[in-house]
Amino acid sequence: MTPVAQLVKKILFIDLFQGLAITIREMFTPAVTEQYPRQRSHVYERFRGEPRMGVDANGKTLCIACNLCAQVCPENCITVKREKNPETKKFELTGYVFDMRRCMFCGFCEEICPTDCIQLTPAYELARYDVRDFVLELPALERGMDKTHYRK
Amino acid sequence: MLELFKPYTEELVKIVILLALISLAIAYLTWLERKVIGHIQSRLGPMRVGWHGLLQPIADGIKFIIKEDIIPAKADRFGFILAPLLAFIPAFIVFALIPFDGPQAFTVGGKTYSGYVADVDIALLFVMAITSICVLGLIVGGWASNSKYPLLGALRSVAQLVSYEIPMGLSVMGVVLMAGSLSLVRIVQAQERLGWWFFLPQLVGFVIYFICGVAETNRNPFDLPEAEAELVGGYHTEYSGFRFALFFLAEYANMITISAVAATLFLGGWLMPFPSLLAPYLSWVPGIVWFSLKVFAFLFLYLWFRGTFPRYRFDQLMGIMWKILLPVAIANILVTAGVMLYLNR
Repeated sequence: MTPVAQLVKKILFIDLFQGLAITIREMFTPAVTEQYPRQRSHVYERFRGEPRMGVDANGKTLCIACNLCAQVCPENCITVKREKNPETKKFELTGYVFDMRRCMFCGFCEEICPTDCIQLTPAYELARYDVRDFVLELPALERGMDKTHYRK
Repeated sequence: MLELFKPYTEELVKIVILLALISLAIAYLTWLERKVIGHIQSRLGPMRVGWHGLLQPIADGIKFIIKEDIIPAKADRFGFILAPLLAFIPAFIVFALIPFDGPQAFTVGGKTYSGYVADVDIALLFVMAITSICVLGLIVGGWASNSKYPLLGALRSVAQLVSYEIPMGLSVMGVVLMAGSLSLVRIVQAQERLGWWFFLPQLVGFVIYFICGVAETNRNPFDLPEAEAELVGGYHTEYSGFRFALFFLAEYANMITISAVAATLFLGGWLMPFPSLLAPYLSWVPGIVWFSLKVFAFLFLYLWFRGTFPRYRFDQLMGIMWKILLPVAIANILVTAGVMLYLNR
């Protein structure tokens, strides 16, 4: 571009008008933000959120107390309480504690679980008023956490 | 006591109406700004308080009033309290001289009233003088806060003041030469007589006036005294609650003033666009509607600028004002004067 053309461009504010044209075009494009409590976020199926323990058709836990999840957990947030049955020589589950304060939702537990018992579900509204509510016992894990309801 | 005010009943009623309307306009200007900037950035802006956030300005106002009013211990109390008033009051005084409508604007009970509070012979000079006082508020506030960021903001404000005031004053001189009067009402009437609005023959003056107006109101891209990113908030860093709200209102009132003066001087005030074309159909539209539309266009331009341009450095601002706008404004006066002399030979 010749210096004269550059000068003319400067005097006529060409660059500034180009900028203004871009912003006015953006003004009429639809908003990309989501109106959260009114619109739900789209979550993919493999999203790792709230932990759940599966049950079979009779309502009995699928957990076989193998302790693999507790071993693989990098944050040590799973405690499997189990006792060896002297007759069958098998472990039986007596309690299961999932400490969500430390959980980083890596999903190793659901990957290693041989019976697909523990799963991280797509539920993502995990905020609670009391820190003790983050330590989940077996019944809570099977039922699901108590939902916080947000007003619209 | 009441007898004293009796001759001024008309003016007093107008002042009260004007104060209410301007305050409302400012409140909804803040809403409009958040909406426009939001949409430019592909957001929605306020949506929760009322329909599309329409009650947001009222919620903000209540918040400002009930917030704690803090005066820093080491601040200069007198200056600190004075500064917001110094910024706020002149911003509202100017509206007394803005002609919102013509001399025969509306008729109530057989008597015709004008669309302005006062028509002063030196109105333009008065407006220029009073709008400059607002900046004094920023400087006093920045100094009295006794804190480094406000002081830097005030420093920049002074640098800005000495830069834009001169080209701004000179840019409107072309209009004064063409109209032959400093009265805002007569300037509009001159545009009516000429048949052209002054922004066409005075395009250079118009552009200079608006650039300087943006600098005067401390809006982007010349919002150096505030400069959130660098100075935390500039001159109003230490202000909170209602004192901050006064600065805030003053800034928006100033935006409306600059827009109103620009609409009066360059866009024909209350006149209708293309009178030969539109007059048969739209002659029933009151002049204040045209005036408001013009002012709104300028206000939108302000918001549009804010959504588009990055901030200038303050040496760049001084460079633009002193090296480019000042000589161009002087040249504009000389050319206008020459042409006027030639035409009135």
